[in-house]
Amino acid sequence: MAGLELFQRMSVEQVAKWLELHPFEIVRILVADGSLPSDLKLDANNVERVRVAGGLETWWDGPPAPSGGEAADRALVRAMLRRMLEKGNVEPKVVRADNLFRGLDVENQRVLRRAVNALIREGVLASSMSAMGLTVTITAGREPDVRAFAIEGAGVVDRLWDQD
Amino acid sequence: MSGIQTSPAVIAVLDDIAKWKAKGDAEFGGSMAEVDREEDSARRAIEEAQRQLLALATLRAELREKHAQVGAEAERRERAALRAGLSTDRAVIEARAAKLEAAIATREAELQRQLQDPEIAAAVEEYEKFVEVEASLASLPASYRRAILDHHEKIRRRLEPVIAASNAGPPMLGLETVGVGVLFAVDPAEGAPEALVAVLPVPFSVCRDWAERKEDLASQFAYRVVAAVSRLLTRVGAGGAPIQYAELAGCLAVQVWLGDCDAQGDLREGALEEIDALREEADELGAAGIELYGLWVRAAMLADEEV
Repeated sequence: MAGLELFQRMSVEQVAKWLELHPFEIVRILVADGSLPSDLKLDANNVERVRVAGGLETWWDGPPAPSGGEAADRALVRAMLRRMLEKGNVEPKVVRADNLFRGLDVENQRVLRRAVNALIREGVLASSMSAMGLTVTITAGREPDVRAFAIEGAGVVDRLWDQD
Repeated sequence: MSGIQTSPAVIAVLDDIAKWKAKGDAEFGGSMAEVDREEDSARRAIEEAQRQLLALATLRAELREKHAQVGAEAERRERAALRAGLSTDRAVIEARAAKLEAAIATREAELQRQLQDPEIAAAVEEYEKFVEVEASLASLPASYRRAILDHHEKIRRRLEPVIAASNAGPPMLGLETVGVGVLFAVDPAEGAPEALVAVLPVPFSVCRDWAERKEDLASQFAYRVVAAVSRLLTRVGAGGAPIQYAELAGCLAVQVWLGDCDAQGDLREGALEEIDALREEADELGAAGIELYGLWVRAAMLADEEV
């Protein structure tokens, strides 16, 4: 039999776990949106507001299957960069950093985090802090390098991958 | 040739002159001795005054050093008082959180007991079935959908008391009201602010370990202050300012970098107004008998781990 949770609105913590966001980020997004309930209990509309106002997207429902003998990690990083290109996340258009990982298991998230950090160090990607948290974008002028690696598996970024 | 004879009268005059001169010499000697004594006395007085000046200079230096130590000691005591205040307030919040949790659990147990009533249990079962199929209602014929919605509305009305009780505000603990403080500081103290920090009397784990610990009064306290800081930033035109969360004396510190914003307005006044608004809004704090206040301190007091 169902319990009280059937009738109860959600706590910030519950929504945070559901959306894979820190509770403080949920609070900040809802404040910026002017829709934080005064009793801190959230309903489906509030959750939708967090998604929309916070720019939350779920890019993955699991890692891509590698093909042609390509290493799984490499295929995952290329797929992430392809998605950034498809969504036009080239400077100045940024994407929430956590969108890059949402929907992946912990191990694959770790792979992408390492790759993103390395690409930021090399200036291929750029990160910045904003009200919506950490954001990432493809550095202006590096789009051709990213495209060469993401689409063809070649170019400067590919060589970086080999070094790594 | 005979010598010049001096008359007795002249001799007497010369003798008088000699005596007059001797007297003058004697008077001069006496006067000079007097002047010498006065000079010695004055010199001793000067030496004494110089010794006094030296002693006063030494005393002044000692007083300055002592005063500097008082300043450092006052700062040390101020830091210790802030640390103790945070610790005390944190303990209050944690104790009241446990009591509030227990009161909520008692209330929910009673509601769960009510759900066992056969009539209510049957309604709950129907309600649950509706929730499961709600998303697919759009695909049903309109008349069928209308009938289902009407029936669900009847069920919902029957369960309204349970639904309302499930979402009721926190139960009042009826405890004595205790004040707890949030410390604010801005750096630099004058001119364009570069950084704002708020230190909350809640454990840093509400931020770091949020996924492992159950949401409680301390978590909600943190949400409230994060919301207040966010509103404050919007008020001063710095809504996009990045926020970081750090640990300060075991407590949660909300740190805002304002260096890249052109914050306009009075942060101090704004923060206190937000705290006032928060006090009105936060039912859970009222239920737990906690009254929140904001306290501005010098940034140096919060600059490192030595709060």
